[in-house]
Amino acid sequence: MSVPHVVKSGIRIATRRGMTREHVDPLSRRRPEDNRFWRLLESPLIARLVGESVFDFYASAFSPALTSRRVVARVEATRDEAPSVKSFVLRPNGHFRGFRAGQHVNLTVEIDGVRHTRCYSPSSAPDATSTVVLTVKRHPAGRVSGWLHDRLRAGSWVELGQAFGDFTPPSDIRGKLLFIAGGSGITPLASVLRDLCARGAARDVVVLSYGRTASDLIFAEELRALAARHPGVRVEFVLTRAKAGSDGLIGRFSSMHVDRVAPDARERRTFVCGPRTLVDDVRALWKARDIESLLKTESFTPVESVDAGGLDAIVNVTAARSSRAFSATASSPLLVQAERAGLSPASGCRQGLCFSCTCRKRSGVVRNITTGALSSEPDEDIRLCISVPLSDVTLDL
Amino acid sequence: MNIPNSRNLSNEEIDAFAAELDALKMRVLDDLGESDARYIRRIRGAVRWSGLGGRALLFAGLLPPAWVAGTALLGVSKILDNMELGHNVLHGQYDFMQDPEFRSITYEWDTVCPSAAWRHSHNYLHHTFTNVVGRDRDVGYGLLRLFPEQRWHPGFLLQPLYALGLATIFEWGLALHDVELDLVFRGEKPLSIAARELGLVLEKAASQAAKDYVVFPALAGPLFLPVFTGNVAANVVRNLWAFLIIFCGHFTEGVETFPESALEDETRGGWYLRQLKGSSNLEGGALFHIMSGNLSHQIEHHLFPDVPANRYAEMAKEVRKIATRYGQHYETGPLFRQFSTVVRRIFRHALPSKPKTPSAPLAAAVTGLEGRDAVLAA
Repeated sequence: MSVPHVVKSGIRIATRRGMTREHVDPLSRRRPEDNRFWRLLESPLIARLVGESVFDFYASAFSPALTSRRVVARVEATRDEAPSVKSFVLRPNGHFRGFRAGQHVNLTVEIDGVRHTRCYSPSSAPDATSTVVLTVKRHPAGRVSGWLHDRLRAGSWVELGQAFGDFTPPSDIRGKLLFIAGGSGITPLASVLRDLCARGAARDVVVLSYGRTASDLIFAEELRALAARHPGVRVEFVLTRAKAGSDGLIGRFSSMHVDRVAPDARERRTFVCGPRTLVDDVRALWKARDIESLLKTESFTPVESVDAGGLDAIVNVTAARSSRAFSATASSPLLVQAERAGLSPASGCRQGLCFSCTCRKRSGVVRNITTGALSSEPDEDIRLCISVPLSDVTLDL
Repeated sequence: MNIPNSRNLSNEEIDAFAAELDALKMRVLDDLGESDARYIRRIRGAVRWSGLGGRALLFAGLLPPAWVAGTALLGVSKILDNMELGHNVLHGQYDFMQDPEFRSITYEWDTVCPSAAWRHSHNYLHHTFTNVVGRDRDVGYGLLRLFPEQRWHPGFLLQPLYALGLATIFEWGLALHDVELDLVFRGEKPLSIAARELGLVLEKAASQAAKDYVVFPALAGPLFLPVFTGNVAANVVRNLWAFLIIFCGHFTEGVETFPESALEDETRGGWYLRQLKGSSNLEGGALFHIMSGNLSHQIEHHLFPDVPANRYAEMAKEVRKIATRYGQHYETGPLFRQFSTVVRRIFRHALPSKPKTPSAPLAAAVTGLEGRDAVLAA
């Protein structure tokens, strides 16, 4: 692994006029937490006496960027990329350890008093400017994407996680590449392509990008410009909603598209990112051609079906910490069903009031039977005694 | 002591009573959002800044006014931390924010009682079995006899002194509360479990003592003593205030206790009624409510322990109307008057006493009759 991480050495301090200036230690490119002062703050003794949240509280009086551990980022700018697609240029504080092109980060924002976390792929290449560009498509029913579009402005602060994921080409890549993107699935691939171009490593890359109409295509201009500047890059757009007879390729993904743009597909390492249906179609074709080993895929998590089977639908509950699993239905609370399966979760009043059975839900959808509220986001706390599962659920139990 | 006059309700009325309270709760839960998040963060801000100010003033503690002001500010900080912030966050009232900072199962507070022990003894035992003699361990804290239904023994003759002692070191009493040493002595709780719980208490106590009585005084160098005494005094001030508020929550003149039989087949409405009859409010201004951790709205807190406490004031108006409509006594009064009835209880029941007339639920339980039938039988 020789891809240089984005390493930053400064903390941005907001000045009175709302401008920012960068404090850079000219002698080193170390992260602040490598400094002795920051290490001291993270020592067990100080943590005991002060605590992370206490430190962060007082430090935030000076700047929201000053935290003992958490990655926070300032929104530097926003820009429209396409109808209902917007990019946010973020500048994280010194705790961000950078990212590799193709990885994702968790973005956390607070909406009406409630924190929400979503996973996005940076569309920018990791570079020395220390910014991260997240490109977000507004989903019709998406509470978070809608809020980001309408409310997140330059100057706001958000919380980020460290980058993760392995949807990344090896840094020493020499062979030919094929990128297939559906809709906003272009974001990680745009990051990878920009990175390859910036490093002069884009020797033979074919990009096949799907969009409903020409105006829905994300980064079309930039991708064309990259292709014009770099002879090794070829970009083809496919409009899935275009009428027959239009120029170029049209319609949903098919083997014909691949044969037209990359007849040598069996010599290309292929990266595909998009909706589940696109990824499934590509995988089926690669499997049929027996070249699945060349394929790396990533798809958007589909919204899990809720209530499809009623109270008697059988779902799987995984108790992650005890490495156990059991079948369950929505007809009785998770606490009761877990106990029936031989687990013994902490419990108390069994009416949702004492919070003794509070448990971290890693994934899945559950309903609170006293309020009817749904919990569908990953990593939410639920009370087992008043929650029924509506989908497969993983619990921190 | 006067037993408050509450009408006995039929099963249908009890169900309707519960439905009204449930509806009120749902209205508030649906409305939770940014203002509640902002509120609890402001409270945390007040805790942090008053704490910093208090400790800074104590570093100038050779000057008596600075010592007094520093101690007072630190005491205010600890009171807010324990009552309006810690107690309510530990109830899970702000879990809806999904903010790790205000997450009940990982939250710790500035007192010697480990939050996990508190969540068991308080959130579960006290809030589920409220005022059921023999089940709610907060009835007298295993030390005091406050109701004639508790069995008398000569040891209670000195209980006014015990109460004074408990009030002074209240945080230590609460810390040991969940270890349930009395059950260990009676052989009802395995020593191994109690020992492990005691270990957790000692660990928390050690870090609290190190912070307040060693590190901060030592940081003051030559002013070790004023800082040390200021920390002791601030903790005692917090203890006395917490004792005062908490004892007014369930031990005033107008509250009722219940026999264990009250728990048999108890409906949701029955549970609501027991919370209403077993709790007691305090009247005062907005600042008083905040400093009491909104335990001045003890009735609302017991009806809705998982609803953010900053909502209790608005809910109290509705709850009182509903209680009135169903002919239920709603016990409330100013702090001085309410606490004087608590003191009277502590003295009165130090001596042998008998329940005057069984309260309605008790009568119902004894005779096996319910609701109106119990009234007819009486």
